[in-house]
Amino acid sequence: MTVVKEEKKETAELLIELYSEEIPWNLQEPMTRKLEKFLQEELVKALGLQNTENTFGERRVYWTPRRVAVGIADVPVRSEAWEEERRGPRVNSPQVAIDGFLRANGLKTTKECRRVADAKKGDYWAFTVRHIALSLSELLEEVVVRVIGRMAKELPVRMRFGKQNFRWVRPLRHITAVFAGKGVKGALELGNKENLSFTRKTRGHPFASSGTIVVTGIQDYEDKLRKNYVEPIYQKRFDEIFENVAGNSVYDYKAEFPRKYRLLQENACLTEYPIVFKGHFDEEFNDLPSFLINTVLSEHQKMIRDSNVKSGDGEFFIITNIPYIKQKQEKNNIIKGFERVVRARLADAKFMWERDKKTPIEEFINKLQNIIFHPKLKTIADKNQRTKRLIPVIVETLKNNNDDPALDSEYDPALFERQVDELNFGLATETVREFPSLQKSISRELIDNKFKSSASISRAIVGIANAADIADIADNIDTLVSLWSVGEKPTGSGDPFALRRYALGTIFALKNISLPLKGVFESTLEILSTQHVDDSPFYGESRELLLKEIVSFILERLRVFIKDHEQLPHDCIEAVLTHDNAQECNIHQIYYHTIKLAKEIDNNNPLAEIFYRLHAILRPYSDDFSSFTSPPSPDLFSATEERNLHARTHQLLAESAWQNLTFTQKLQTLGSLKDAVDPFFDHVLVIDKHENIRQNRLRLLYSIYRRFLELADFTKIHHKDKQQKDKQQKNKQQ
Amino acid sequence: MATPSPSSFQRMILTLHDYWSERGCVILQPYDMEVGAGTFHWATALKSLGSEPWRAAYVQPCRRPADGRYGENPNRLQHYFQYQVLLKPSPEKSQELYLDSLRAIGIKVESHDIRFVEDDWESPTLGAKGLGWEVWCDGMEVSQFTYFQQVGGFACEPVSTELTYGLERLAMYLQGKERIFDLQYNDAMTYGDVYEGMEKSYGRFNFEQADVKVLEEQFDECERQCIALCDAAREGNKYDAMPAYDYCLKASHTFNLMDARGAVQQNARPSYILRVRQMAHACCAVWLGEERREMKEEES
Repeated sequence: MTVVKEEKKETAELLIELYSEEIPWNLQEPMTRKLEKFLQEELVKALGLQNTENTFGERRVYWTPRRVAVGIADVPVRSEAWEEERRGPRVNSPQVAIDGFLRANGLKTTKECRRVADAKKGDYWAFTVRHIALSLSELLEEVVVRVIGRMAKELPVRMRFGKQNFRWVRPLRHITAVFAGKGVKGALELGNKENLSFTRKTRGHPFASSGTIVVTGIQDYEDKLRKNYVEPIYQKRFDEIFENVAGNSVYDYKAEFPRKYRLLQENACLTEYPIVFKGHFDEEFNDLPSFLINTVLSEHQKMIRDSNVKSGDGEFFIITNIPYIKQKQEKNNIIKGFERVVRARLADAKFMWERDKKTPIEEFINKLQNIIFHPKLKTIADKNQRTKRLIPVIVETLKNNNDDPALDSEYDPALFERQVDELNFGLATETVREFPSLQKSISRELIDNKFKSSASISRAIVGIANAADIADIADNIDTLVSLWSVGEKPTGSGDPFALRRYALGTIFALKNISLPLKGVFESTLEILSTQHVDDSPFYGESRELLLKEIVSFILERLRVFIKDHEQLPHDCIEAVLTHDNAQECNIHQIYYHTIKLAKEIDNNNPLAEIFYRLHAILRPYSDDFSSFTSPPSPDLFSATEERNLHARTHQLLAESAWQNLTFTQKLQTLGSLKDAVDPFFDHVLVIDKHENIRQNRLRLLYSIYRRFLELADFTKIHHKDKQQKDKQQKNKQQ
Repeated sequence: MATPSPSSFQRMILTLHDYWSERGCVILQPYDMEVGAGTFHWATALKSLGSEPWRAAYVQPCRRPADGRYGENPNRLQHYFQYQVLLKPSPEKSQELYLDSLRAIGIKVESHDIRFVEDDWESPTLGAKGLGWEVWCDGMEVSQFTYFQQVGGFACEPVSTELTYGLERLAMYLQGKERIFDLQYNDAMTYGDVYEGMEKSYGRFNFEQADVKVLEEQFDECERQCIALCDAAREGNKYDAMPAYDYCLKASHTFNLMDARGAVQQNARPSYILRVRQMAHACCAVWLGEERREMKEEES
């Protein structure tokens, strides 16, 4: 782009408001930000300006339930004349390409273009578009229409209405467009021959303000909206609510009560002029569990309890959108209305809770026989049977993989089996039916309530894990494996049974306990097959296939989990996860090996460097290393460096010493060999002309290399030297 | 209450009938099938599809077996009423029309906190979805307001406005009552006089007596019948969809009963729901007939 001439800039204010029926609260800000961004971009383009940032004056953004709006100050009233050179295809391009270029620029023949010489790549056609200076008012219709079009395309939720083809988040009712104090002429096509004309008017509060407001500029817009009971600035609405609800709070509210904080934000988006009242609920609800009361208040009613008061105080905040109520009587009616809703909801919750409390736990457990887990997998009671059979398998595997005598001495099968029942009985309660999100809390609360004296049973610690955790792990594994085996696998588009979440739960639970899952999965399939005599997927080849799928599903989830939680380098994660050891699916091991490997590499342990030197020599033999497995013979060494290397390694890497090392020690041992490996490669020619010497040297190197192979797949590790070499190689080839 | 003259339950219904009748709606009678919501009435579920304009209003008794509390809970019934309005295509001032209907039944909207709170509605069994709100009056949800986007898996063109009033809640609000059964039904009788007894019996049936085996068989049979009828539907006769749709709804209610008996666990729901949705889809496909073929061609 070339600016032809500079004029003295005359500027004015632009205000655009898109007014619709109530916009979902969490879309208001993102929509406004898009409006701001696209408007800026389209203005820059229309005005023929070069800069994209700080081009104009102050910007203000507004969002309320019914509107998103942006005001920009100091927008030039005229575009500048400028020339745009459009580069076309090369002159010897196929005719189709040339015709396309001509058509796109409204040209008939290449005679209208210029031929630009280019000795290197060949001459090409070019065409210069001359944009003349225009008044921005004439361009604004296109700007606004383009902005709305771009916004509409990026809306996460959009709908049609009436017969129109146009889609917006909710029906778009008017478009306010004001520039330099005047209304912008123009209209948006809605399809089916319907148009929505731009206007300079808007509306205030839907109930408090009766008429329309004529807008002349940014400050005028704010002032008039406020007069008509709309606070257009979100932050002011939020502050008003926050001050009333948490103004006295001694806590860092955002950090301590993130959910409540979010609820305040939500309320600021649900109101145009928030007024906060206090309501009360009756004493009779004080004995409901606090989490239940909070859920009733916030989930359904978006109300909030005071965080400063003692639990048991029935006070809560009501955030209303009725600034215009002046009469006390009317105000009291509204508060009473809210209180009645809360009372009804709490009465409902209390009704269910009381019934659940009175019901013996055995009754819930019995009911599990009637609750179908999955049509192909029978009832929850059947599922519990499977889980109970799986527990001894898990305990046995734990014993084999963890040094924990308590697993022997304190293991009581009856205790563990009881945990399984206690885990799922919540499903049969009325409260959970109503508030599924509270399943775990409700079960726990009921157990505490019913077994006040023996509550410790459910938390019994048996060595490294308590019985409830083991039951939970077994239950998760059964859910995963059983649903997977009847074909309910997650797909790209959906995961109806939330298996990803179960996988994540399992990963989280096993982060600190060593439990190779592959064997446990096998046992789960075995147990399933005894319940399903007729079904084939649990047998033979298809069982092998299932097992592979499930293991790789877990590993995939683990990959995501480690990435999200530890921010470790990708290559270290891959090196551990793609190694054969990972196929045993020991979450704990994979997790910590990744962390430790990353730490070593971060500490400049030269593992990769050493590995790649060995790898370069030994890779050609990777089909069959069997001829290198026997130890090298010292008699055949001739160079000092190979003697030194052998002296350094033959004891260190010998089976008995090696197996006593931890993973980190092994990595450090291998890394420490650098000062023996480097001289070897610098001075010794491995590929000696004598077969026996060559063979002997390969054996020496293999004795180190195999230790690398045991630990991780080091080919996945990015090695700086290697990368550089690769680059050089490439450059040479080019 | 500041609101004048608490209107009886039946007066409220008559007022809504008058109001919507004046705005061009045909006033229909309830669908003679057990349904969980007014949306399932053919006048909404089927009529919202296709291009012809349609305006209807009606009361629909709704059965939600799992919501029953043997009549002991002041706010919950397994059998209650919805007032349903369908306006196709959706009028530009749908919200204003709705607010005027609240005024008609005696709610002074300027004296209350009326809010439209996002609630995108979806009926997985009907394969239907729409965008809209639940309407709050001083924090109480009094209506569902939805712009229909899709029914039976087919796009709604044009889009309809669907309004669903929770009649008991509205009446409790207007009459200032705390128990549904205390509502004044007319000047002489309460809601409880008319309906309380049956709540207990249905509670027992829904939660204790309904035979799960029988229900499972019934579900399968209804499904067979529905699909067979759809398969046999003659080209071009959209009304062939209606008998099939009856069986789709019978299956749906059977599923709800199994659910109330606690015989369907969370994890089994998707496959039952999918089966009902497939039935609904088949019925809607028959209903759309010719138009559907045109829609498909347009898409490709």
